Amino acid sequence: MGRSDDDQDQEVVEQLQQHMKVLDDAFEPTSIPSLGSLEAQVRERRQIRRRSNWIEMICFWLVGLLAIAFGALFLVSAPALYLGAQALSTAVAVILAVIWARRSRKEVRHE
Amino acid sequence: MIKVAELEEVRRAVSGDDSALAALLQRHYTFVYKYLVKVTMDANLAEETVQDTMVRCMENIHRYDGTSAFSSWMITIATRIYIDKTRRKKREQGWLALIRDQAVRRFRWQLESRNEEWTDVMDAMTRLTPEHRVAVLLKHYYGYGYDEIGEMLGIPAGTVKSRTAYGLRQLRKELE
Repeated sequence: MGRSDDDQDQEVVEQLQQHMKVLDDAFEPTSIPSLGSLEAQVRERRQIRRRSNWIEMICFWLVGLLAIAFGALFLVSAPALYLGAQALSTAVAVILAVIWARRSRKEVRHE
Repeated sequence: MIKVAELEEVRRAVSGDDSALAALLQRHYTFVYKYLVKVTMDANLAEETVQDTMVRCMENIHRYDGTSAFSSWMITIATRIYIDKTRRKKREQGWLALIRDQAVRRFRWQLESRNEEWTDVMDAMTRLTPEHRVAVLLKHYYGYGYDEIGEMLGIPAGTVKSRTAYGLRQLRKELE
């Protein structure tokens, strides 16, 4: 970029700053919310968040309890099948972990 | 002195003091609004977006880590809300140009009714895409560095640099 380009850029920047300042001075918000209404809004939002956190936690616990109950039921009604499923899923998890570890090692070597 | 008092207020707001957060939001309301007026070039959209920004700040105050100024954090949120809005509106492409033209005409009328002149620079700014306008304003009006803007917009500093340069080049072309 030549010197004249820099000068022209600088000129545009100066114009931009000047004209944007006009906008800054010309526009004001039609109404700024009062401190009281903002405080009430903040409080309301906090309560909504707290409530949704509680609901999330309750849902989490319910799903967890359901999974444990099904597991226990499965173990009591068909112990051999249950242990087989456990062994199979552990083996699949180990195989996937090994594949993933090998792949990431290869990627590091290529970098 | 103001800085220390504000830091203390921010700390209280983050730790759950509702009145400290309300005071901070009220104090920054005009600053964010004026930023949005220049970014959107539409006073009505700025008004709508500043209200959305206040709500988003209330919901996410626990995520503010104090590494940037509170005002920077607020304009980061405001910018993201505005960019999301424009992306959503892009789906209605046909309407977009028409709505945009109407908004620019209304903004021009609002400015002229305040006895200010609508200038070529302002006109050229309305022709930039939101992404380029945001980059040019944050760099050349607010004085943020490329890295800071990158962090604010969630994009690499190199992208910010090219957006700013392209925006400035477009402005130059429009003004020639």
